[in-house]
Amino acid sequence: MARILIFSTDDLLTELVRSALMGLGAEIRTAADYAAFLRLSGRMVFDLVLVLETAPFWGGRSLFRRLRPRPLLRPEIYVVAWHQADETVLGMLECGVDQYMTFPLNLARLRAKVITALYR
Amino acid sequence: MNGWFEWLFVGAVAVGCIYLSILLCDATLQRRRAAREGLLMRRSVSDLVRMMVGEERSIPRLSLDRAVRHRLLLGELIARLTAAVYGCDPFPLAKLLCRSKVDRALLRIAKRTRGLRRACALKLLADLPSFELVVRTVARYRDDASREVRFAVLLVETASDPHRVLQRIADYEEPLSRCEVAELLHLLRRGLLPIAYRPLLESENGNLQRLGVVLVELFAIEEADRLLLPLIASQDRELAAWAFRAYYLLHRPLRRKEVVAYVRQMDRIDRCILMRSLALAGYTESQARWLFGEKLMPRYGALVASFKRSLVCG
Amino acid sequence: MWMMWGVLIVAVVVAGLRWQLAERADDRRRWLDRMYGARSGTLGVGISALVVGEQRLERCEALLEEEYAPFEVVLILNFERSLTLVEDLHQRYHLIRVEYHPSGEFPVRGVQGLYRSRKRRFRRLVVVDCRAPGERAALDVGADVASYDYLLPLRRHEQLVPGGVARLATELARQPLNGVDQLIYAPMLRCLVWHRAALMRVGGFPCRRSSLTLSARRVVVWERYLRGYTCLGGWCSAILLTLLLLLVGVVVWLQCGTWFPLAAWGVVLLFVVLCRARIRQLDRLQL
Repeated sequence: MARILIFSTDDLLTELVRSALMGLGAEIRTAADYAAFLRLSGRMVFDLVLVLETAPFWGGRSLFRRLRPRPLLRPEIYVVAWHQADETVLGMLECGVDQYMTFPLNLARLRAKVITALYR
Repeated sequence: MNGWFEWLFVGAVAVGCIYLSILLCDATLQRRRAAREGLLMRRSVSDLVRMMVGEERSIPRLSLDRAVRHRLLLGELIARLTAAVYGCDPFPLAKLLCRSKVDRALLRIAKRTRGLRRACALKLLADLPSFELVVRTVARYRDDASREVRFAVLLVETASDPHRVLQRIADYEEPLSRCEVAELLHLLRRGLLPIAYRPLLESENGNLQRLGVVLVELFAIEEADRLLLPLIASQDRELAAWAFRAYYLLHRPLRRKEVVAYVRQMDRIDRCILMRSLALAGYTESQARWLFGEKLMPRYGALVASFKRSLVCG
Repeated sequence: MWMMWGVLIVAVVVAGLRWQLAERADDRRRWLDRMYGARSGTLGVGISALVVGEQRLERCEALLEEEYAPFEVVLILNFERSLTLVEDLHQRYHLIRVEYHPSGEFPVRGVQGLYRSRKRRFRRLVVVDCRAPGERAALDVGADVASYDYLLPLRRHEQLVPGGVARLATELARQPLNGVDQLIYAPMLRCLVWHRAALMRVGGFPCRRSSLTLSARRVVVWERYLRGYTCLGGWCSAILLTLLLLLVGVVVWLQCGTWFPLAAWGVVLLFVVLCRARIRQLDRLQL
């Protein structure tokens, strides 16, 4: 069974995305802070990580490098945030993020992208 | 001092003490309830999401539906979800709100309160799918003393009637601030505002022009630069500043007479600040030479060298 | 007796006014939190935080992890005194030394080097090796180096409240573009945010934090944006007011034979204490 991890400090956004991804046949876990994120990522192997903000990437924490040490390509990392500026998008891509999407989100499109990521 | 005044004074202070005690107790109880209410809100999200994507045809009974005081929480929840999502059918949510009478609760709050509290209630109404009754009721606050209330009324009216969005913005009497324009652009991202920038920039109305300028800046529409030039030369200094900012953020050529004339009227300090902004935007020395002259160019060169933008892009 | 009643009325008015200002500040915080503009970065307001003499990497990390996009952190350090931190910063943020020439906007002294990151995602960090004496001189260096027009000097133990930067930017965006010279936090009478142009006109950061420019382009706020500081002014005034009321109470008790003035004094003291408690409660909500 595929595994998805959703990381966000906003409980309602986490729940929104989690509800939107239900029924895909994947196990969905959520983390509201770094400690929970480290705990979950240490115990389980995820296929997809969804981060619903950009703040974790600016501080230099190597969370995501630990999650996906080179040369692995899994898990895929998707970021969903409000920023549209080129600098933000390019910064995310530099971090190794596979997809950057902005809010407001189209839930159907999100589901389609996640299905493609998990089951290709 | 007169006896009656002393009694009145002590009585008023005692009433104040009672009111403060109620506020303190209420806030303490709210803090204790916050965890439970957060749980109720999270439980309701999946039902709402199923409604929004059309998987659920009937209007479900939500955990938040059951208590009267949870109506406002339901409103907050729906507002936050609709802000984060687009492309969903608003009708089921509107039916749910109608059944839960959230809009009436918010209108009551708006009637009872003033100033920012009224503005917050109206803003929440603007973020929800709203009905004609709501729009008619909030119209009475169009001339409210508080600017935030007047703007919140504009948001309610624009959100409820997307076909007349531009008309309403044009009719808004005060010049919109940057914060207010950003809020209106949020409507665009929800699909409630047209994206056509040309009619906005070519309009005679200052508010529509401001909206157009920020739209161009947000979506980096380079081909709009020729439409920005007349605005840079405009008598409205605020609009000219906005237009110039959008122009240089699009990295358009600075060797235009409107741009040179605009910069020439700046004082030394504003020119220094502009120099920093242009260096940050990535203009080279040869591009900026038209604006600052040979005397200031060494300073500009030093700024560009210190930002080291080309190294980072490599 | 007249004096006693006068003191009681003044105490009630002062405490009540402060309470109402705190309620309005809370309302304003709720209003600003409802604005979406800061999230998408369309406000047109960039803020540079100037941090002098920091010693902990965790704090730098916390400052950088700000969701608001046009935000920068300028760390002004004496490299000789902060060797461990400098090493950690170099390693974590891939710093490189870049050219620096003073712009002439501020009186700058003692700059040994300017460092930025090679990595795009750490572009919001700027580190200055500065041996200038005193905090004021270091802040002038930070202002000279900062990219954005609004400058937010932070003391060593101060941190921004969650969402504070976005709210500050929204507050500034309510005014005309570059139309605010100072944003003043009223309870401390402290200038939280300076506009670069205002600082240039006065020749750099003033010696006293409470110095205000003569400009009318000021925004006064009562809601909290910082934590980790001690608001001495607020505590002093609360303690003074309570002591004054106690003094009045003692005088009343000694001079009057009747219970009414004593009861009035008791009610007023209760009112002042409840106002203070409510203000603290609202303050905690903002943290």
